[in-house]
Amino acid sequence: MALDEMHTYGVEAFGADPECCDACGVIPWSIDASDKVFDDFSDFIDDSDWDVARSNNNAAVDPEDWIDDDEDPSFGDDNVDPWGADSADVAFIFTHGTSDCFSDGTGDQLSFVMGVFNDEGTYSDMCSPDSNGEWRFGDDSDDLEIVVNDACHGADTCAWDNGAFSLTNTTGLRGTDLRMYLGFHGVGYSSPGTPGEMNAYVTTSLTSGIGSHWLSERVWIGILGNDDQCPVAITFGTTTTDATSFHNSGGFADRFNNTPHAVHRRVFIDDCDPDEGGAM
Amino acid sequence: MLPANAASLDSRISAAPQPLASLSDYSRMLEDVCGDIKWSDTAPISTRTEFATATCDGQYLADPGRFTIRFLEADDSGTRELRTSIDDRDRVNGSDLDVLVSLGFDLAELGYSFTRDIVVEDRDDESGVSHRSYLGTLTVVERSFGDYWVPGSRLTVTRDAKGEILEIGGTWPELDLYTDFRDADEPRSIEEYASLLDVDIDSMIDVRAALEPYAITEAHVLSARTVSYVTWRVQGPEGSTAAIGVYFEGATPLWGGEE
Repeated sequence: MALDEMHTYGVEAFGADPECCDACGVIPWSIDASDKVFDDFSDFIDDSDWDVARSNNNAAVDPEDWIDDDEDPSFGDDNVDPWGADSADVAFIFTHGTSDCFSDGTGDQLSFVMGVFNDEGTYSDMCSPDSNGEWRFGDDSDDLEIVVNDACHGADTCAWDNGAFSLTNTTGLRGTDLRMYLGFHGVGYSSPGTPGEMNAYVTTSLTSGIGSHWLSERVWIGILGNDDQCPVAITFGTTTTDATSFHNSGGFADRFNNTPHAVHRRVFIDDCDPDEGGAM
Repeated sequence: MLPANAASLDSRISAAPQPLASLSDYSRMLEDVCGDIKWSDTAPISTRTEFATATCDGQYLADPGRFTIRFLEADDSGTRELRTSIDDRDRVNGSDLDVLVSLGFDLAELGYSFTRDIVVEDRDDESGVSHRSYLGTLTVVERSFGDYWVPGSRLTVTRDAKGEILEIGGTWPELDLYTDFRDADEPRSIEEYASLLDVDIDSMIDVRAALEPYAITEAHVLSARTVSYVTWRVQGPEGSTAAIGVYFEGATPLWGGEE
């Protein structure tokens, strides 16, 4: 029987050669959050509920780890165990992210920033793998079924509206086995509370609530105006019932992933209003 | 200059907050709701948490009519997480606040921010037809102490489209053990927090000076969302203690603008 594998990636340092993204500021809590996820899955392992947990931080977070090996055969190594995200069943990433659509709503491209650029490819391009031809989660023989993208703009509404998650988008991020994608519409925040929120989310979602807990544990209702944090849960399933059930009752260890997927579903909080995104 | 919400600090000094109930206290409270409660053996599920399940009227977990509560409690800092699964709608009903109070939470601490948000689904069905559906509500209750928000401590109540409770969850640290649970093993100084969060340390010092008539026993930055929040643990008259919190702007967006 295949092992249950989790990889978590945390990036805090940016800009200094050979780190990616000169313009990115330090995120002070990414590695703390990633480490918390790793600790929680290590506890699952201790309890014989999980098999493998791996933590990659800063310099161990390379573009090729998240670039699909089929989309870019000369560079992508996302299927290579143990570094590649697509060699795991569940992957978390904590870093900066952006999209090409939050300003005018016309795009569908999402991206996040890696830790270190090595000596392959083009620095400016490869440091931020994107959803148009570089990410491809859970395709062919690759493993990845659940992606937790803890970066800004990872699940922007305009990307959804423009087909980034569509079942028929052949150049998009969805591989045939991708079961769930979790992210934020608009700006998300890294704070001292983030590791605790991730701890609450992970420890309660091993066997149920993998989508519903993402909303309840990660939503922030801002007090200063349009500064909410707006979690989004996208599920792929064989039927509407299957997708709905997985959102509420599925878990990291209970993925119940039958294919082919015929339905995709997005759950969010109405009127959630983040910075850089507009109210949902 | 003091932050605006630091104007009436004296009024914040009050008797020590009532600590939350223990597992056995919860058991007694639930008896009022459930009648005959049967608790499973409390068993450690990791080195830092415990697990216990209560069932009403002797019914097993899979039976209808169950009222189960799972506690993850007693981590190093006294932080307790509560998560319930309520399948018997008749046993627990009423408003979200009523339900939380019935579970033993102090009404006075339920309410810094009380929002009831609509959960919505967008879906393309098997035929490719798009739908938008109303799924229910998610109420987020941020904990308050006096007029102040207690970051990192809140409860959520999730209801379905018919208004029936699906789940209650949350994290509710013991105020008497109020500490930065994230850094329980490696506490950072307030100066380090100020640097990390780009918070004006002078403002912190001003507020701290205003508290000098009281014995400051601890100081922590607990959390930051779109704001940072500093808490001082102070000792007031006759040995009473209280937590004083002040907001400072500052947090770290995970992105902003073009690379």
